[in-house]
Amino acid sequence: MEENFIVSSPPYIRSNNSIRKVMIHVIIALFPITISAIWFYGIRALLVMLITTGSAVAFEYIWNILLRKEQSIGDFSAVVSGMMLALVLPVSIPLWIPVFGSLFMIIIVKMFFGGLGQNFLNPALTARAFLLASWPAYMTIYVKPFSGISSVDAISTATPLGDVNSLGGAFEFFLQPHLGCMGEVYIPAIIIGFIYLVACRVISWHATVGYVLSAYVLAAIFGSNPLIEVMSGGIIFASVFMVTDYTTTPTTKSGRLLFGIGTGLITMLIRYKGGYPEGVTYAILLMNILVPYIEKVCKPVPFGKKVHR
Amino acid sequence: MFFKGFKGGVHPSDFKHYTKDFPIKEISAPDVIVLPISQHIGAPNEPIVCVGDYVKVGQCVATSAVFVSAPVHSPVSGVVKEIGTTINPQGIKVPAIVIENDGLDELSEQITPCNNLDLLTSEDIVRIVRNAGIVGMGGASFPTHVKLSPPPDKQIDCCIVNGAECEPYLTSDYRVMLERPERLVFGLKMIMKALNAAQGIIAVENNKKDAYKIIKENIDTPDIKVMLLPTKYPQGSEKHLIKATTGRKVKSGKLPMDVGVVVSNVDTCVSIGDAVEFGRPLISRIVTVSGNCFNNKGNYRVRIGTPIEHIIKEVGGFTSKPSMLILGGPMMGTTLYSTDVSVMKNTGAVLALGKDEINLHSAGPCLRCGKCVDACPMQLQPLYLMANCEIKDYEKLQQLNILDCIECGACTYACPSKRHIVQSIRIRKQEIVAIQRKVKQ
Repeated sequence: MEENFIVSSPPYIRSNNSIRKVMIHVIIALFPITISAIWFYGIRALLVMLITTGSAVAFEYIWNILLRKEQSIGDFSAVVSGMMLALVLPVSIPLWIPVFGSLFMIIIVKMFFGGLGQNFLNPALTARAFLLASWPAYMTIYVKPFSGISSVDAISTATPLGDVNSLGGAFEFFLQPHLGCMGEVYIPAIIIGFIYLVACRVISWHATVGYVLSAYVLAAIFGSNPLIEVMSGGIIFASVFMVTDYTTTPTTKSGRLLFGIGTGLITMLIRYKGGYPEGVTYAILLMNILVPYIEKVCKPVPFGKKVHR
Repeated sequence: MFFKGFKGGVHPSDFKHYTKDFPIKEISAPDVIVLPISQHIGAPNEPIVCVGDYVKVGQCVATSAVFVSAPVHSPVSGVVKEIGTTINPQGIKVPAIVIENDGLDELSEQITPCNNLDLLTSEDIVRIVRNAGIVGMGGASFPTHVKLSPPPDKQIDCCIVNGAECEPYLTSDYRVMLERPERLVFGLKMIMKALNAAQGIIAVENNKKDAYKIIKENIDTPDIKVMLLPTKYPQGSEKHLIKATTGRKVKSGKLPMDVGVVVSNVDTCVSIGDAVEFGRPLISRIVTVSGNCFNNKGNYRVRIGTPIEHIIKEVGGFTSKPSMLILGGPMMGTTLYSTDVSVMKNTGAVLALGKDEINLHSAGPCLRCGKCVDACPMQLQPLYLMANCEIKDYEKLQQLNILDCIECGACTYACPSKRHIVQSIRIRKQEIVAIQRKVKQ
């Protein structure tokens, strides 16, 4: 009997996980936030999201065609990046700006460095930093939830807080829509996404918890209400979707914890001692650069080896 | 109490339900036995029969004077037709003895049962095990008598039987534990006697609770206990099994005997029992025949030297053409390109997997997701190992402890990008070992 069998090297079976599945999980986890953004900011939020996602996919597609590379948009990573980018932009952004954001994010941050898995900076946040430097005026106009886009007057006021020093007040703040980027608007939606991602074992909790806890502790040290401080701005959104990005964060659990703690530290230093009111973006980008060193420090000790420090 | 189990590992679907309820059946001896002359790690054997000789069941046909070797016995009676070559599962040409089976199964006079078990000394047991040609039947094929005679400065106090059987599909050890528990316990007693060890442990994964129960009922001495371990791949890895059962950690580059432990496979242990009591050499073993493509999956007693072709025919052939034919488990076994390969002493399974059971996706880029790091039972960093394997940076690979890799494939199983991690590591590891050997010389 002469049959042709496949000859290979073990293992011959693989888990049913795949890059595409991971990306689809993230997209599902982003759904509650997307819906909350549309709910609070209207259909324009959806429009911005469609523009970033569409242009991100288109840029990756064109890049691959021009460079005669294997088409990679099928892994849905560009879709995830596009959605992430929209969620770190204010809803009032002129619609041509996100296109530049996508261009920068896909071509310069991702493809110039070798595509998926090779970039050392978080694509969406780097694009946000780029837009913030290029069009600062547009990037800092925050519209109050439910106010509609036309009322440009209703901008840049802090969300009216109740008695924030009581726990009840903090809980009320938790349930309120927040002023800021689209992804930051409704914290319960972000928490749902976090629970989903952890339950599906897409991310581990370490970086998220490290980030939130260290931000909490530092806010307490700096003397403000830590609960309110942690829930304002982009900390919660970033702690779930940005510091858990595979490519730009450490691969070990201890490393992820350290990464989260470091991000919390830098965020709070920028908020209290720096010139920016919001430090999440730069904190994460700075920590991204430190990842190789964190990996070295948090190198696991092999089974049966002594610890060398 | 120490932490039972180990960090890392994966949970593949085990497919043991295919065969776990099938009692062991005998597969008839083939008309022609192709017996590789050397079936162990160590010095090669020389044939001691000539073409035309009549050999009987259990007669020694090839042996070596060197200590680290194990003789090979004829599993059938008949005439030696040829002393030539065959291919081994790795696809390499090896010398082999071809015996034409006359079907009479005449027993050799060399087989002599032991008349008084109580008078046996440890030297007697080691000698019997060596003469019976017993090797590690879990896959390593290291001569067992060498394991049973450690250097005098190493005192062994604990003997472990590896009943974890963590590879998917495999159920042969499980069936042996269910059907011959008294032989298993007896074999373990003999190992303990040979090593003067005080303690014996039979380790079973907790997905085989009925085997655990039946072994427990058959233990008649307080020196032996049976332990349930968490079900996780690679629980059957020697170092991890020792850690899980005794809490001792085998240091990097050391052997189990350095922590006073000897680990044996289930089938090996039973074979030792048979050899000591009945004088029966290792001429057959239990093989799991499984995978979607087999008509009659099951657990079979197969004589060593039976061509795979014969097994396929005896179990009723394939339902559909398999994509892959594997000797051993799907995580660490070897694929065959031909069915002309013989069952060896370390062949635990023959699997015929269909297209839907194996993964043929091409590899994608590394996402740095860390799943391989979480999965590695040795706490290595497979993603960095692979990156350095690709650029052949031997120095960096050694810093990353490549030689500690046990090649279990858990990283590769877990990788969402289907990267060939352990495959790359395996190649570079061999190269590094070769370089180190050259430097030493």
